[in-house]
Amino acid sequence: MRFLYILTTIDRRIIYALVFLATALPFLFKKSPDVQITPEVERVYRFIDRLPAGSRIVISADYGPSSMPEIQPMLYAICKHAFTKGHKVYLLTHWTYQGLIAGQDGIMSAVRDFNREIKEGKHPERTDTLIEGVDYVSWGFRPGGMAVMLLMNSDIRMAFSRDVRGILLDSLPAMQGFRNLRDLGTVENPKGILIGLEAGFTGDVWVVYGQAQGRWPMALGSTAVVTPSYYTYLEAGQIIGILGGLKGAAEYEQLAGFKGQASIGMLSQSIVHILVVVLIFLGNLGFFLARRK
Amino acid sequence: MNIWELIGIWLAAILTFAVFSFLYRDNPVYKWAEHLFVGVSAAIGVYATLDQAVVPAVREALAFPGVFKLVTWLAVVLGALILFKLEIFATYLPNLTFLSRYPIAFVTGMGVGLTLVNVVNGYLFPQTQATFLPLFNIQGANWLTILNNWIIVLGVVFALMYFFFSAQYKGRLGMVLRVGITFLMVAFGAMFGYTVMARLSLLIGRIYFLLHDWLHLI
Repeated sequence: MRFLYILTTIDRRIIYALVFLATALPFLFKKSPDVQITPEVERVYRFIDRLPAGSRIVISADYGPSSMPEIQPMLYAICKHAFTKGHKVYLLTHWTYQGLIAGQDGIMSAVRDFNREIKEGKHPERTDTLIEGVDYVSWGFRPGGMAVMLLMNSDIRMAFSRDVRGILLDSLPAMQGFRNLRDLGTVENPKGILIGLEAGFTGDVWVVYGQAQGRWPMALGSTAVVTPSYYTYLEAGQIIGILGGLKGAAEYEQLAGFKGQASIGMLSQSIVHILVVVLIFLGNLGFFLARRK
Repeated sequence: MNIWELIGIWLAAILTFAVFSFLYRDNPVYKWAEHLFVGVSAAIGVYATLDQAVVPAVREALAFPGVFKLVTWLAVVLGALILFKLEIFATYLPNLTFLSRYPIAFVTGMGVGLTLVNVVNGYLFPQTQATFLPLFNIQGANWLTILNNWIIVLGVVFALMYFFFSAQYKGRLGMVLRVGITFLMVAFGAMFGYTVMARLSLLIGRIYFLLHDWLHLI
């Protein structure tokens, strides 16, 4: 009876400590187990992989520092993959300062690491390093949400006339021949893709107001909290794939051939999930047995 | 690593522990971190909005030719009218606060107009169309596809019927509604599972920062 009583009255601080240890200790093993690749992540990877070199990867970084642990690895992995394939990356955000901070940090990390790899000779097909305005452009932030998306379907320059540094888009080599989002082509005849990295429901707005009108290829990467609601768009064929939470990011890293922050966190995620399941089981067991007594 | 990066990492680590201290109990250190976060967020928000939205809008209004210039200036002036909602105008110029209603009315009208057309076209039709699935004699499909189609179609029908409030939940209708609520519960369970995963991912991110960036243990 005393055991049942203990089960139902464990101090929450003990549970916090257990969760902290179950999360922290696996990091010290420095192991990043292979994860099961899901079709929805593989479709995004294959789509970008098969695009002809020089295609456009537009990334909408609609998240902030509070969601960076989940989404930043996605942004990093997608950018690195895109640069490896010779694509151009375009970044924008609908999340004022948060998206700017997170998005800029992510793309610059990928650029810095990729340029270092070029200098180390890991990308023999490239001799020159990535240049802002040529290989990647950061459009920045515009308020307006759906109005901005609709505008970008007809003319990107109506929404963003300059990049985040204040340079006219028309003067940037990466913007030559890129008038609107319809220039991304279609799923059948792709010339690029728009990937919404979402911590909220801006992804819904992108699908409904952007993709549904322009019919260009689109994928979503999201925090695990909002991922279930995005599956409806996948089932309806409105998007080609989803990267869901840290696991989705780890899958993409594995497909892209490197083990980044998401992959390293997978062992912790697995162990802490087991702990949560055990705690739920014990708590319920204690509750039911105590009630029967 | 330069000195500013080092200071930033130490500050971030200290703030992380300050926030985690709330897990033990509410305390002044946590309150300090919370207030600091709100203050810094507000300051960056004001700066970023001015730098990325207001200044470019005014600059474009000056740069656009002809009719675009007029339209953009109209938008800037209309947007500026929202300032009459500020407390200072409400106190000293209360007769002019009505001007702040025009930009709100414009945004509301535009939002409703855009939503009506685009939601039907971009959400209602594609989502409804996605439930028109073959349930029998699917050429080349395995039993799993057929089962999935049945689950989707029945799930949509039963879940919609759960929101049919014009009859009492008794008899056969009650049974159907119980199936509907079961579908909804399964969906909520999946969402909750994903939410747990998301929250733990945030903890993983913070611990990764502490062990990797701060302590260099991994």
